[in-house]
Amino acid sequence: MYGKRSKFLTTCLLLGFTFLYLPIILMAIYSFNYSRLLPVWGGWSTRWYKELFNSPEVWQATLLSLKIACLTATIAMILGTMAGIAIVRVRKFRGRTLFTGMISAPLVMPEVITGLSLLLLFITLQQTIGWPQRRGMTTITIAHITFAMAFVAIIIQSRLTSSDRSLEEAASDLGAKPFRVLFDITLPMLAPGMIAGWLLAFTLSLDDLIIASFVTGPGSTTLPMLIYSRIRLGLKPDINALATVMIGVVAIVVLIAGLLMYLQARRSRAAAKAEAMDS
Amino acid sequence: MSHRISDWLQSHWKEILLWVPFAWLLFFFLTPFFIVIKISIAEPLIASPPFSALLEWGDGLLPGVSATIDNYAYLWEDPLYVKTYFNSLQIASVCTVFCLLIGYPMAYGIVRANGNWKLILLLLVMLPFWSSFLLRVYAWMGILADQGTINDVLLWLGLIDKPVRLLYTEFAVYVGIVYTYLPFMILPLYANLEKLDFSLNDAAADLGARPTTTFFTVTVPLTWPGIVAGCLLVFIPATGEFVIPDLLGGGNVLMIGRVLSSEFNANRDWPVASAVAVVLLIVLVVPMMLYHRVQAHESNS
Amino acid sequence: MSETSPLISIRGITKSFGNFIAVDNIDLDINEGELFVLLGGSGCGKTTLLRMLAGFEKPTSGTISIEGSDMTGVEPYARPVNMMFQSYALFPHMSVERNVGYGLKREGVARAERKKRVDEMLEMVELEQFSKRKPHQLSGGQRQRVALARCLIKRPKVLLLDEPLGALDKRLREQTQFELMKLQDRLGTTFVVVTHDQEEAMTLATRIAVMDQGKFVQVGTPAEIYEMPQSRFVADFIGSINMIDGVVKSISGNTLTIHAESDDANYTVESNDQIEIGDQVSLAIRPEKIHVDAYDADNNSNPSEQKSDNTDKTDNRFIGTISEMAYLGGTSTLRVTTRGGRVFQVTSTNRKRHLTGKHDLDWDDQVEISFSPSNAIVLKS
Ligand SMILES: Nc1ncnc2c1ncn2[C@@H]1O[C@H](COP(=O)(O)OP(=O)(O)O)[C@@H](O)[C@H]1O
Ligand SMILES: [Mg+2]
Repeated sequence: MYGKRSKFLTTCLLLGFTFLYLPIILMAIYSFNYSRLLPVWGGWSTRWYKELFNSPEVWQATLLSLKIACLTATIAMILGTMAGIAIVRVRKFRGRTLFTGMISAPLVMPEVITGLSLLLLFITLQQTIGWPQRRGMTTITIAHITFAMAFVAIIIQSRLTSSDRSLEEAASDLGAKPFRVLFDITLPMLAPGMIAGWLLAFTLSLDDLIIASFVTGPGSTTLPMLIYSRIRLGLKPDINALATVMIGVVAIVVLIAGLLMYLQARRSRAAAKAEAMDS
Repeated sequence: MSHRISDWLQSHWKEILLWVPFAWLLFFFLTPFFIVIKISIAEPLIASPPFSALLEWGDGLLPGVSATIDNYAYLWEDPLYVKTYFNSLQIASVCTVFCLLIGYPMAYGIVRANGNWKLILLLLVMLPFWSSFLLRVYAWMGILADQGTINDVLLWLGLIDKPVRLLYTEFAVYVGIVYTYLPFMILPLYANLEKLDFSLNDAAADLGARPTTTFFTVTVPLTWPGIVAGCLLVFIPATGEFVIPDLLGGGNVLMIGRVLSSEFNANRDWPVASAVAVVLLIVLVVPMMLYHRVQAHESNS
Repeated sequence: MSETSPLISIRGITKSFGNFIAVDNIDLDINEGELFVLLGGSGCGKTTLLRMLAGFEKPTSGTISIEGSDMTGVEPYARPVNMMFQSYALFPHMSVERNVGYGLKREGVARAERKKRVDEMLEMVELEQFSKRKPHQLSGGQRQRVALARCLIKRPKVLLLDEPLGALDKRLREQTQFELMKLQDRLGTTFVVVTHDQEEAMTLATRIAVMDQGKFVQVGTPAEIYEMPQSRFVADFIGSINMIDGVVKSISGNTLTIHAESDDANYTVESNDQIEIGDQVSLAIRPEKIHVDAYDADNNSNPSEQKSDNTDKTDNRFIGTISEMAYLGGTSTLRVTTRGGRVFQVTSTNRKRHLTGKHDLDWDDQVEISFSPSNAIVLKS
């Protein structure tokens, strides 16, 4: 990969990636184990996959998780983009330190604290204004938006600070008023960041267990909550199957995205070459 | 009519852009903390049925009247809590160091890889990051179990004759935290190393520095922000970690996230749970501010 | 010069960033149809001045008016000027056509009219066949023309260009300079161009302002700037020049005799400036204004004293040795060290073809150099 000079780096990478991937691979292999006692090998079988796909509970939880994740991602993308633009473009306003602090805090805030505090808020609200009447999808979504929008805002902020200001100035020079510039130039420029933010918010929401279990109510079980309640008491082969499916789906999506990125990089390299020959 | 709306947008869009997310965060992020603080100084007595407790607390509008530091005193007096805080911090710091030791060479290796390899390796780091955290922890349950992969291999090799206890020990928690938080270390380091001008290494070599000297005198100082950011991204959430000590540590590993959760869910003692959260927040406020500063510094330059 | 009122008039404009003063109290008038060049080294405040004209920076003090109306508080989108950015700032997500048409769309020009004008404009900059392409599919020169077209289509009163040719390679740059001039001549639009390249400034400009540390050090036509620099900075900045420091020894009419201590020699020079005996001055002479001839030591036994005594009052004549020489094709640049120890840089035209590779002048040859008093410039120091 680098020539003989860096055997050390290659070794580190090999060991590191083995550490990252071996557990996942083993888990996937065991998902095809016939035996109910997980560590005991009972021959290849797809029995657990069948059980998994026939379980209405799993389907319900998956559907709920996906619904919450889509809603969260969309709203968090909008709010996060607004926040990111505001931080970079509105230079001075009262409470700026507070605002930037609140944007970067959720990135590192222990989830137990976020979960606990939001639950207490929802209970207080319910007792004072009667809303939310019962906790469930709405409260989970609100909680997820609150921490996911911070991640989106950070992405947008970093894209905006590294972006070329002169594009927006050019538009304004050509007669576009600030609001127009926002839609014609700034937002298209931020589109890749917004998509990345949407995806990140989506996965964060889909992955969250702790915050959701704090703010949920009876009857609203998300997929991580379902998984957690099953594996707390030990290994479950159908969870291996579920894990394999989920990680497989993510891997395929990431692979496709990677391939697209690669193709685009190659295309723009080719364009650059063509241009060099032009002049 | 629509004309007036567009006029209004033209002149106020910046305020809207700012105040919508700002208001959201104020309401859903900041207010809850005050509620937590208020409940943490509420009478423990009123905690038995959590709902009525809150109503009573709502009546005494001046928290000073019904305020008490009993909950905090309780935390201080019970050695279990103090020990748990220290244990959490210790586990988080050790794991941070291991993440750095494993993550730095990996990030460096990825940055130095050429062309397509770089993209592939980066995707390989991101992949676990995008896939379920819970399931990655679960994967280790299968490896560390009494009849799990490690014990199987060791038995087969004849190194041991009966399974070693790995799952539900502190060791398992260490492995789990390092494993799940490794990408959080690698990604900021990668971002920082990526910006590094590697001709500096050649310049240092040209001036007579050996590779290790170059690494510690040139590369490390220049990637300091990435190191700090990566360490904090591991350390802070690891301190409050709940799932890993619960699943891999069983009941045997004391970590504050687990204690908080059990105070809240099992004991239904909300004031104490809130006090635990407040103290955890106070313990973490310095590293959090540090992280904020590094973040702000990075986005300014 | 300007009987009519100037198109742009800048009064006492200053811009500071914190403690740092980027543009320092500048006054300037620019007339309609001029191709005005702001010339100066990197960081001297050219871009800042241009950005104040465009409205992107608010002046700390002073006013700018265009066609007599004060621009203070007028937003960039409402000003009758357009700017071509150093980076071109083409919108990457829009085709060439949409980039060029963007300004008209903002003006509310109807679709059909817009299309017509965009096509016209693209034809003018010879980019008709590229109208559907995205900026990243164009070469550097094509991008530059799109950026130009995008500004010009708005028919601005003034076009501001920040290092318009800076991103192009040398050959393309020279070719584009002439295209830019032709375009300006045809449209009659006033151009204000920023550059750090003095050759480019000389080629393009009808008038040049030389800037240093936020101030104008001289404003004039290219010839004035080159032939009559008013300060050492300008003389040094534009082209190369020989500088001789000395004291005024005698004055007769407009002819001065200057004594330079370092090589203990006298120089005569003509000047109309107010100068008195005893003044410290610098004499500046351009390399191409110095004559150089081969000198035959055998024919002239004691030439230096004789000749310089004879011609002291009318001509500056010195004997020296060629200490360095660079053959540049059309010309050669020589460094001649006089007997007094002063080094002159001299440009000589190579009129004859040198097939043998041997020149009539060569290293270590004895030469005689001379320049007429009217060709030298006196700068008060
Ligand atoms: N927004 C700004 N904030 C602080 N300093 C600035 C800013 N813009 C320009 N400057 C400073 O003003 C000086 C002049 O800049 P500029 O006008 O861009 O110079 P140039 O003549 O190279 O175009 C530079 O020293 C630059 O650092
Ligand atoms: Mg500039």
